[in-house]
Parts: sequence; structure tokens; C-alpha cells
Amino acid sequence: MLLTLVTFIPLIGGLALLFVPKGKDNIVRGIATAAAAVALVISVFVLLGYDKSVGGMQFIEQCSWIPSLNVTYFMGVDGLSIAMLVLTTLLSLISVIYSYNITSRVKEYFFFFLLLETGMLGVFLALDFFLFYVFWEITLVPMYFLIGIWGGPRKEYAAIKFFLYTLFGSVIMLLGIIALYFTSAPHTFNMLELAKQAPLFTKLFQNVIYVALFIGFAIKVPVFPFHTWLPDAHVEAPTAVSVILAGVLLKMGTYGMLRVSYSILPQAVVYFAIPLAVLAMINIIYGAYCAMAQKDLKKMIAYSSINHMGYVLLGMAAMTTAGLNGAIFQMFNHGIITGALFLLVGVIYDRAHTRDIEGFGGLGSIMPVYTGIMTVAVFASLGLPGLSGFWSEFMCFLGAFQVQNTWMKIITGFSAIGIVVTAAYFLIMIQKVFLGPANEKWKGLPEINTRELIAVVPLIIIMVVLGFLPRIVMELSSSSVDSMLKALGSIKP
Amino acid sequence: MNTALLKDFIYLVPEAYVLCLGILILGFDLFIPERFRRRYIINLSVWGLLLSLVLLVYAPAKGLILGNMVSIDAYGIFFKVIVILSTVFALTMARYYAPIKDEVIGEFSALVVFAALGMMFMVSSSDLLMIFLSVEFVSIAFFVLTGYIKNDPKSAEGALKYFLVGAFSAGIFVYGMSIVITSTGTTNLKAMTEILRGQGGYSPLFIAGFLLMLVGFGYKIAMVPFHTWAPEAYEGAPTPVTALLSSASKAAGFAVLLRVALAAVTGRADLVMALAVLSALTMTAGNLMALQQNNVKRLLAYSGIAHSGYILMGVVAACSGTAPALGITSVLLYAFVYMLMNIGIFAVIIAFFNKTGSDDMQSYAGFSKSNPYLALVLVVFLVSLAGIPPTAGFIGKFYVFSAIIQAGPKFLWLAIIGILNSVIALYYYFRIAYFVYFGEPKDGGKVELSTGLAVIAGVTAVLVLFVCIYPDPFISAAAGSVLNLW
Repeated sequence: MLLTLVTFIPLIGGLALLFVPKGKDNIVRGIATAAAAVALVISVFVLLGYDKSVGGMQFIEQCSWIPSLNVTYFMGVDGLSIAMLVLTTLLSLISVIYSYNITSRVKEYFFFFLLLETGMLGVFLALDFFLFYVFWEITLVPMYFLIGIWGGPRKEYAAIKFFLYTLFGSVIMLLGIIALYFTSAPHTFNMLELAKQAPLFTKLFQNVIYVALFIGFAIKVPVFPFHTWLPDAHVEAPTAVSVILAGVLLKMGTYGMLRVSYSILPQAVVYFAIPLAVLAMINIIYGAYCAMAQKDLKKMIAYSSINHMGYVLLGMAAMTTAGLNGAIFQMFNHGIITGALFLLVGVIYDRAHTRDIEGFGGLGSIMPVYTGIMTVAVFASLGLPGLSGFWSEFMCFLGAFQVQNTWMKIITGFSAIGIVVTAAYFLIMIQKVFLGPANEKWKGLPEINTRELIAVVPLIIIMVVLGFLPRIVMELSSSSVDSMLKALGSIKP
Repeated sequence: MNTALLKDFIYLVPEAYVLCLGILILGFDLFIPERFRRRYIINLSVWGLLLSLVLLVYAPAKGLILGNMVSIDAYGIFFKVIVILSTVFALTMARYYAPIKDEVIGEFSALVVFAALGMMFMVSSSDLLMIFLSVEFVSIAFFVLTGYIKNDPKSAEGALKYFLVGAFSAGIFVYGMSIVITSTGTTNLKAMTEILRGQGGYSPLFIAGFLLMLVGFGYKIAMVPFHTWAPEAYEGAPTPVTALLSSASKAAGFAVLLRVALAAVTGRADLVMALAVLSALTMTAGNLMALQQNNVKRLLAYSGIAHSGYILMGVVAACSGTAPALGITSVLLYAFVYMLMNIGIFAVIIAFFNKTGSDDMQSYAGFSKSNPYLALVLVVFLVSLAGIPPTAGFIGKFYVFSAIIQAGPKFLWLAIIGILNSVIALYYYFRIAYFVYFGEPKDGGKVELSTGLAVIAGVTAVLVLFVCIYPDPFISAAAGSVLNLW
């Protein structure tokens, strides 16, 4: 029952706050916080109850849903999803707290927000493809409204672009899902069952389905050349929504690939390993250079997400123990780190009403605490040893380099350029914004306040702790990765 | 007349009942003072029709009766339920629709009930003659209903256009029918199926005749290129009639088309392909034209054309020979789902129109601020029309796409066109949502929702969500209709 509870408690909270009388915004905020907090507590219970030594699917809930289609309500959690579960509930709670500064149409805001949380949790927990797809699409509608109502100057454009792009991806995915269903015998949407039937699918069929699903997932990640919605959506979205967008929604793409493609279409995964690695390389290098070119702080971090998701893809393309574990770890870390970065950009934007990197200068002396926190987050993002980002990026590269394939080694070598560029653009940003003589214009900026600290500090603590004890997260995924590799390893490319 | 034939009439009790109801309403209309008419007559027709649902559900499925003219089967009953439900909803809307005046509400209700009767016959006809008679019966009722707002030139224009295109296509339909009858030597669908399955059943003459008949069906379901009447008629007609035209009339049209297509098209690759091309054309043209609309009723007319294209995908699958059961199920399910969401959105539009007197999309600006709950309900319908879960529209879309995928790789192109179309459709549906949620309100007045409209909007919205959350009973009902389809 725990997984059902954690998934639907945000929705129940969202429905409950619709009945709050007009004008009582604090009650609305309270209900939203309570719902998100309860979800977090339950997810921590699941995390503590998850038996790492056994691995595999745990907390399984299964019952018939649509018998005529053999659709089941099937939820479970394993090494791939448990970190995502906690990441989602944690970032959601933090975003809810940060969103206290939303003052217009509060009720609708938190309703859509909690609906979004239910959708995201459902995606990570569903083990039935039909259910997975339903949750996958449920995330679209609230996101459209969250960007479109509470976003920045070009919010409408960004909202509909996001919606059209991702819907396009997901309907193509839907065709793939239906085709998988009709090819399986007996017809089933059960992902574990489909994985068992994987050897029966022909190579051509697997490749075709892989491409169909890949379009859906790649748009979400986003993989070059499907990335153009991301800078718009991230920049226009309100801060807390950017956090969710970068922190959780992007992971749905890579998670989908791991959960579906890697287990159900192993032959195609092996077949497309090198193309995926090439795309990863493009993401890493192109994302890094684009980030470097940005004048807008938020846009820079948006592009850095493209760059960092490239590491995840590289680790996945490697299909080695280090690579896959690194990819999952990087998914988690990117959520924490980029979430923190977006929050911090929101903090400065709320005060200065500008995000122009060139326009600041010497903030270090004006807002010392803020500067310290921002610096830690930036260092974590560029992979400084001692902070969490280092481990996952290192493992992605290590895993990719271990592959006995010349192409893979060349691609990995080139991708390393991305790390250097990442360091460069982050350091340039730090220099321009925080160092140097204090800009007179910003002398009066107040220091980061308590609400913002409550939101950001937990993320900073996680970065530091995981920097020293990466195995807390890494050992969660290892057994699942091992069994996945066993299945993949038996396939000759 | 022999007694066996007479005995068959027992299976037509629901139809006889609805006929009596219509006559009763006409009689009632004479004796009731004008100021009570609206309330009593609509109540009588609504509750009367709801009672007919009971008769329908308990009516035994007999199969072919009256010399194979009419088929009383689960398939027909499913469509009859759609027809009755949407008629009930439309009549309730009419009660709160101001342009229909008190003095005409009696005739109006009677006409609507007779139209429903015609559609009940349409969906169970299994003989070409019967099909023609019932289709014309329904069309004539709708010609009148469309032009019911006498002093509104738009209503008259819509009715005239509907009538002219209707008369023209009826002529072609009859001509095609005569050719089909000559080439097969029978008017009966069952007999025709047997002849066509035999050696040399498909003569060139038959194919020409069938294609001409398709014109008549195309008109009924607003298939491109026979759709031109739809936007004007939808825009001009009283909105309750628009709701009825776009849900019940269309569903009935599909019921007949599918019955005929199953007999005439199944297994003929070229005819199936022709249907597939028409399906692709219909959805694409409907969607592209919907993109440019600013009037919500016109937009829904074009989007209704696009939805006809989706349902046609189900017809293609049903006739492809590889996915008959799933194809038929998907058509039934989609017709039902489309009825729900369409009726629901029209209820919201009427509520809005009653307050503002406008159907323009721009006038919806800021709707969510003045009416947060009604706006949310509207969004549920929009999401459903766009085919996104957790709504009924998704279940419908899922079934149609499943059917076309199961029909085989030959129709993969059609599935892809359908998919691309559903992305286009999202854009214009959410243009409405854009105004509702992002626009700045002009007057900020609250739309007063009369009880009847609130009930319709609420019931359909809950059903739209319910069909996705617990779809099994609906799927089973639709799938059950495939059995014993004569």
C-alpha cells in the first residue's frame, strides 16, 4: 500500500485544497506542504525498508485494472527507481516551500503542482506500460499551466512549445507501446513479463520499437536535436517549476530508457549503443558550449542541464557496471544540484529582477552567505572532488572508457572536452557575478532569507554528504544494474 | 401479413414507446399554458426518454426481424443508448437555452424525440431500403431543427446549407444504392454479404455504386470532402441541436456506415484503402481548418470532422480483415466517449453564451478567474478531446490506435498520420485553455450556471474521468456488441 499512498497523497492533498474557501491562502499552502511532506516521509520509509542486499522488485502491488486488455495496476520499486522516488518527493517538498512566494491564484498553483507530483511519482513506480503511459501524460497538463500562468514574459509560447514537443514524443511512444502489446504473447503491458519475452522479439522489431520509444524519451531528456523546448521552458517557468522540470522531469526520459528499452529491447540497445554515445557526446559538448555563450544566468543553467544529461546518456551507452551505476547516480545528483542552482537563481532574480550575468559583479561582499551556497552548488555541478557530482561524472566516464571498442574510447575522449568547458563557464560566471569590485547598483540587495535557506540547505547537505559517502546512493542501484547487465551481456552485437 | 412478421413487433417496443412519447408531447403542447411549457414538456420528454433506456436494456437481442429489415442486436442497442443519452442531454440544455422561445418548445421537443426515433431505426437497419428511409427521416428532422431560431440569419443559413448539401448527397446516395442493388440483386445486407463473398461478387458496377453510397454516409458523418455543411450548420443551429448533431447524429451515421462497410468492404483491399485515405484526409483537413477558427462552435465543428477521421480509422481496422473485433469495439467506444465529452463541452458553452451572448474564443479571456470550477471542468473536456489521460478521450484514442496497429503494418502510415494529427489538435484545444487561463478578464462577471447545465457538465465531466479510471464496463459493453452482429 505504501507506493499507492505515496503516489496519490499529493493528489488527495490537491483535491482537498480545492475546497478551501477563497482568500485563505495560508491554509492552501499548509495543505500543500503537508501533502508533500507526508509523501516524503512515506518515500523515506520505503527507502529504509528497501532491502539492498536482495535487490529486485520490492513493495510490489498488483491487481487487475482493465481485464479486457490485460492491464494491471502494477507498482513496484527497485534499484532503478528508488533513488528517483526519494528525489521526486524531496524536490517536490522543497519546491512547495519555495513557492510560498507565489501570491496570485495560489489555490490553482498548488493544485497543479500536486497533480504534477502524483504524475511524476506514478511514472517512476508504475510497472505496467499502460499505467506508466497514463502517468507519463498526466505530467503534461499541469506543467503546461504552471509555466503558462505563473511563468516569465514569454510564458505562453514556452508552455505550448513544451506541451506540443512532449506530446509529440509521447504519442509516438504510444504507437510503440501498442505494437509491443500486440507482439507479446499472451498480450500484456506488464513490463516484467515483456522483459521475459524479450528474446522472442525479432531484431528488426526491437529496433523499430526502440526508435519509437526513443523519440518519446529523448524529447524528455532532452537529447540533441530534440532539446529546443528546454531553454524556453526552463527560462520562462517560475523558479520552483524549473526545479521540478530540471530535477525530476528530465529524469523521466533517461529512467524510461533504462526501465523499458534496456530491459525489454536488449538487442536494440546493444545495436544502438554507439549512436547513443554519439548523441551523448553532442549533448555534452554542445550543451557546454551553449551554456558558455549565455548571458542569462537561468538559461546558462538550462543548457548545463543538457550538458549534464549527456553524462547520463554516456554512462548508459557504456553498458558497464560503472557506467550504468554512474548514470543512475548522475540522474540523482543532477536533480539535487541543478535543483539547488535553479533555486539560487530564483533567489537573486526575486531581488534584482534581472539574471544578466554581465550586469552583476562583486555580489560576494554584498550577499556572503548566498555566495557561499552558490559556490558549493556550482562546484558540485562542475564535478569538484569531495562533492557528489564528481563521483557520478567520474563513473560515467570510467564506465564508458572501460568498453572494449575503439569508437567508444574516441567518443569518451572527446566528451571529456565537455568537462573542461563546464568548469570554464561556471568559473567565468562566478567571477563575473560574485567577484571583483561590488557593483554600486546592487548594494542594497538583502541576504538570502529563511524560507529560501530552508529550501536550499538540505540540498547542499546532500551534495556534501554524498561527496564523502557516495555509496549511500550507489549501493541502491548495484543489484538491479547487475541483473540488467546479465541480460544485456548475453547479446552479441 | 403473416403472424410471424406481426410477432416481430414485440422487439420494437422501445421504438414504439419513443414514437408514442413524441405524439404525447405534441398533444401535451396543445393543452399546457405557455408559461409552464418549458418546464413540463422538457421534464416529460427527458424522463420519458430515460425510461426508454430501461426498455432498451431489458429488450432481448433477437437478431434479424421483419424479414431481415431490422436487426435487434447488442450493437444496435449500444448505439441506441448513445442516441438516447445525448438526446436527453440536448433536451436538458434546450430548457436553459434562451434563443428557443417558450411558445415553440413543445414542437421543438417533439421534433428532437422524433429525430431520436429515426436514429434508433438507423442504427438497427440491416437493409438498404430501411437505411435510406431512416437516414432521410433523421435528416428532415434536423433540417428543421437547425433553422429553429427564425430571426437569426445564421441559423437560416446553416439550415439551408445543411438542407442543400443533404438533398444533393441523398440523391447521390440513392443513385449509388440503386446500382448496388442491381449489381447484387438484393437490398439486404446479410444476403449481400453472402453474394459478395462468392465468386465474382465484386463487379465494377458494385464498386462504383458503393463509392456513390459513401457520399451519403460521408455527408452524415461529416467526412471530407462532404463536410462543408458542418461548420455553418453547427454555428447557426441552436447549440443544443449542435450538440445533438455532433454526437447522436454522427454516432448513428457511423453505426450505419460500419454495418454497410462490414458487409461491402471487408476483405476488399482497394476499398479498405480508399476508406483509409478518406480517414487520413478527414482528420488532417478537419484539424488544419480548426486551427484557424475563432468561434468556439465552429472550432468544435472542425474538430468534430477530425474526430470523424479518427473513428474512420476504427472502421478501416474493422474492415481490414485482420482486426475485425477490435476495430468494431473501437468505433463503438469512440462514439460513446466522443458523445460524452462533446455534450459536456457544449453544456459549458451554453452556460457561457447565456451570460455573455458570445461564442468567440477571445471572450473566454479570464474565464478561470471568474469561474474557477467551471473552467476546470472545461479543461477536463479539452484534455479529453485532445486524447490525454486520465480522461475518456484517451481510452477512445487508445482503442482506435490499437485497432489500426493490429490491422497490420500496411496501415502504419495511417496510424502515424493520426498521431501527428493528435498533436495538431492539442494546439487548438489548448488555445481555448489559453484564453480561459492566461487571458485577462474583460468584465469578470460570474457565469450563472443553471441547475440543468450544471448537472450535465458535472455528470459528463465525472463520467469522462470515470471512463478512464474504470473503463472495463464500457469496454465490455462495446466489445460485447461485436458478438452476434447478424
